[in-house]
Amino acid sequence: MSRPRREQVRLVDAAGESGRTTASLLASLTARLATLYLVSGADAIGSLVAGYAALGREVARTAEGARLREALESGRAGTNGRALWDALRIREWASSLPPTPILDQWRNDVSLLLADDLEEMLGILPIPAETAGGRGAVPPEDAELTDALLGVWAFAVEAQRVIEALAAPTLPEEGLVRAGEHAPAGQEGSLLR
Amino acid sequence: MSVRIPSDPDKGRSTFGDLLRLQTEFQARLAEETLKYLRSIQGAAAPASPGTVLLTDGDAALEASGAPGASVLLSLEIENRQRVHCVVTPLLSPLVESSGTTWFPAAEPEPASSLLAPGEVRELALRVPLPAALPRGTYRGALILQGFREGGVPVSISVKPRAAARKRRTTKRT
Repeated sequence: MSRPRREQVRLVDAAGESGRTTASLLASLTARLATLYLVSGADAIGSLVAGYAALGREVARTAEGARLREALESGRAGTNGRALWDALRIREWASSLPPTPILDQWRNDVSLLLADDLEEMLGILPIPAETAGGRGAVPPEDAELTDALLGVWAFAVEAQRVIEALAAPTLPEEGLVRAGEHAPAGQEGSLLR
Repeated sequence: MSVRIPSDPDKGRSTFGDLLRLQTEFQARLAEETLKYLRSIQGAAAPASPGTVLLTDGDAALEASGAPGASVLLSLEIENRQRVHCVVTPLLSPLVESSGTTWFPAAEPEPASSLLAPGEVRELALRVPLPAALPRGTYRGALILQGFREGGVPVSISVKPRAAARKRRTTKRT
């Protein structure tokens, strides 16, 4: 196996934004929760579907995503899915709504779980949140079923890995046996003893 | 009173009917565009979700070469310059050769996803098996970090016949 030279990249905040800090992530989360009271359930769920489709479109540009998309489209799931999508006009519904940036939101919420200054920031709530502004006005794109499925897959795979990574530092060994001080009550329960 | 029913509906269409049709189409289009406008306002007023941007040096590129049936290793060092943790999930795009051959590599990133603390630097490695039937040539694509708004790292993998690859390694050693 050949070993090429190692390249370096940096992960930074987007220019012109306040950036990812515990305060800004907390403000975003509280604003999202507050927004739920202002929008209908149909709009909230439609935006999530559009968000999964947007993530799926992005993942479809990768080798693994492209293979999965092709397989989904050519199988029965794709045919039946398209029929459902058309008959129930899900495409029109989801395509007309602003896509929720589900992966950004998930990652930001995970970062809050690991922040060492969270308690301090919770003490200064409410923190005013920024609006998506120009970034929110994305040109509408068709929310296709295969893209939405691909988005759900990518999200689920990452969520599983991240949850495992969160638990890893304190994860008890598999097959661990803990000797209890008190024996648990039997199946018959304490009343019948 | 007599009512004439034409056999060709177009022949009997009145000016009033045309106007009514135009007006209905206009109202439907107006409702559709108003809804689109309101949705985009709703999108702009939604809470911002701060994200991450991938910053590379201008000439950063991942290059490797190997023979069909072997594997190559792409290695990348990632530094989190943000003030909170970052999740990194590396993925390879399809790789294309100048002749038009497209290769969908089965890359195995290690680790598949990483949680990077602020200021942490971590090495990501992608083992890419070269299929035995892969025609020789230079395949180009990009390493994408899923979910990051901009950027990617160009990837170039040269596939050479086994003998040439061995000769090249021997020459390097001497």
